[in-house]
Amino acid sequence: MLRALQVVLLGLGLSMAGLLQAEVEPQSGATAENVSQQSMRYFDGRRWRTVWINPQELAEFIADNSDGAMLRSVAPSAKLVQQGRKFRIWKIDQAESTATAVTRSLNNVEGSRFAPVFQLSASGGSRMVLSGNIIVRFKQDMEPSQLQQWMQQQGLSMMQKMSISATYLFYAGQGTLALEKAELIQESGEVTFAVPEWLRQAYKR
Amino acid sequence: MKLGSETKKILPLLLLGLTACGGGSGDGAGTTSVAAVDPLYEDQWHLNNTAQFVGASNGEDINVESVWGGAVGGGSIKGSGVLVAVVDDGLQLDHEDLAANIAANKSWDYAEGDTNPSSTTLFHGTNVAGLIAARDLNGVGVRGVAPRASLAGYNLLWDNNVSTSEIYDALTRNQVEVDVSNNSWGLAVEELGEAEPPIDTLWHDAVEEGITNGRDGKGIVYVWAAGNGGYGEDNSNYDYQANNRHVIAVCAVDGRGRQASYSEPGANIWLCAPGGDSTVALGTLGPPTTDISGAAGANTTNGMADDYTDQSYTRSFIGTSASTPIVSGVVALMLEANPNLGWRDVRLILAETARKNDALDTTGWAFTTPASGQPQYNINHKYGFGVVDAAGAVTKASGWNNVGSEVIIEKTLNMATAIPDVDATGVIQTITLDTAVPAESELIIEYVEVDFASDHQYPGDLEIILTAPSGTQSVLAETHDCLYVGPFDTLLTRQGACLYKFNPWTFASVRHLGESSTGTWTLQVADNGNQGAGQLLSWTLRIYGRAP
Repeated sequence: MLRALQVVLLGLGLSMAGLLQAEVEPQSGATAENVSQQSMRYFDGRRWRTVWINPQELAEFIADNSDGAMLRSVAPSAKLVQQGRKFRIWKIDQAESTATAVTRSLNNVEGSRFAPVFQLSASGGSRMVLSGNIIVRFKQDMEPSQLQQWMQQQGLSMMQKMSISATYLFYAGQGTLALEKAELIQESGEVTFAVPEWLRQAYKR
Repeated sequence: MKLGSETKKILPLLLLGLTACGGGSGDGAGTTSVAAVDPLYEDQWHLNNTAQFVGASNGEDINVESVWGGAVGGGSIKGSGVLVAVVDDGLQLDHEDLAANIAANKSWDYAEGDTNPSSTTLFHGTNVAGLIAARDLNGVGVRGVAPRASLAGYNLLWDNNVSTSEIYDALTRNQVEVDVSNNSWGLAVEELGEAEPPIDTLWHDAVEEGITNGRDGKGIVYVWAAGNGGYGEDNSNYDYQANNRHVIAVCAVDGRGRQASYSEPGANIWLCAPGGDSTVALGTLGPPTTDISGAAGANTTNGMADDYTDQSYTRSFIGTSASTPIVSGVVALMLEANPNLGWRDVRLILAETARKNDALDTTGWAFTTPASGQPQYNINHKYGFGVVDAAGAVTKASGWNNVGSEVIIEKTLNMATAIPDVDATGVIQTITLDTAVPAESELIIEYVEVDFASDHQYPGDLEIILTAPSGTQSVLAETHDCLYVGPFDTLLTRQGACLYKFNPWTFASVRHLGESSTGTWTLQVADNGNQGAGQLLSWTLRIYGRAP
């Protein structure tokens, strides 16, 4: 896998020689400050919103005994900017287009582990990461057989029924799949809402 | 005051309680009978302030002793039978001063999917829980405001990243049994002066579910920290959680009853409680509480210099995180005294009985102009209705008749108008509520919202003031810099544009409580800054209340 990633990145013009020594201490700063040109949209439950992909950051979901070796192997100069227990966020010190290419490459090769970092403003803001799940509220409660059929049609698997009526959490997939799937379902008009589930930082006061 | 281009970021250091204070019985030794059964009680200045510390003033407490003693509320009231959910980073279930009050199998661990949210490293939730319901009369530690209330811990913040579905769950879990939900956390990044919009509607849906169906339809009482961004020019009204009408936004005062240096102001703030403070002049004075047992936690070997030698307790915990559970404890006392109170009743009682604090703030206090038969409230942009008063609240709760159904009036003005740049007068628009129109029948106001839409690129330039027909004013937004965190944790001023516009943004005001809705409401929008220009596009006035 490592060799495959290196090949992919070399093919994109990255110099591996200059990418050594990942930082281990998270940098301070609760928000990102990178300007992004790449936006996507999602339905927030009441209206459509635009989110921007942060071109210089990448989220790595933390598996058991994970030490960040995978990310370091492809971008050793990456700096850790946010360390959580569910995932960590790396800043990749590359030009915008190259970093985005890294994100795409990692998503393709190791899609279950890496995810793009989004922000609500093109100029920065709180970091948002897709969990891979979508939250769907149907227009009315579904019979189990109906629900099963609908999930099969959509290619989704159920994570849980939420305590609010007719509302479920489904797994859609990593990368931007949850965003794209939620958009398709929302646009179908079949549901009250289909919202991608976000992970974001919370603060004790 | 506007911040300069660079402002040193001091909040984290101060909230961690790195400055030592003088005075106090650091070893918890006491001589009275109360101290003998709760050894650190003498230090709990927020419960009984005898000026026992530097920075504490006699009487600046929550006036609770008579509630426990049975002098008010028809007998000793300690929160018995009331369940408080602590939505936080954990809760040490076997803590010696909490264990007796832990509700069996009601807690939840989001990390492991079981009912034990205890942690050996995360301490914030255990600090919070002790202020609510540390057990009394057990020969150890401290005493909570409601020392016989039951506790459930939901460690939503076990990781600093939370998911939408977990947030929803934490705010609605055990919703039949949970009476009070304490939330000493938030999603807003503090100090930056930015109004970051919600990323989805699920948080709103959760609290709406809780107040509608929780507690058998009487509504969970959500108590929420108003925010610690007061070092800069942040305002609790730029925080969509703290300015939601379903939560009680709680600010913080120091041991003298004055605004804590970190406590955010805002027209949305309901009331304050002691949250302690940490200043160079006065040192650190936090309300004593429980800490996770052992050397980890808030009370660490390298922490505050004269914190307790027993590291299962601390007095370094300060912030609106600390003031919020004190109000949650008072609500627990109220609900024992009168379990039938609805969530709106609780809010009204807290407002009516709050104590006017900080007499030196002569320009900050105002009075409402009450509708016929309604009480008059003291109101302050920094303190809401004042500091929580437990004895007053429990007394009032005991004989309270629940208020009638909630009614909502909403009216929109779409009249796009340029806001003159650097002009203190700005744009003035009005909305008139006419009782001749059925949909605008008079209400006794309980809460006011303004959905404000402007394309101004730098909303920090704007001062927005809502004036009620009574003449009572609400400052919804204040001219301020939008900031970002630069190198070395320095706060820098954004130039040209804030991250987020007020387009739209919902502001809230509690300042018209008990007034009449009828008449002409005025919105004044002035651009006092020089960072940009824009228009007022539209505004919607939404009034929540009840028929007279």
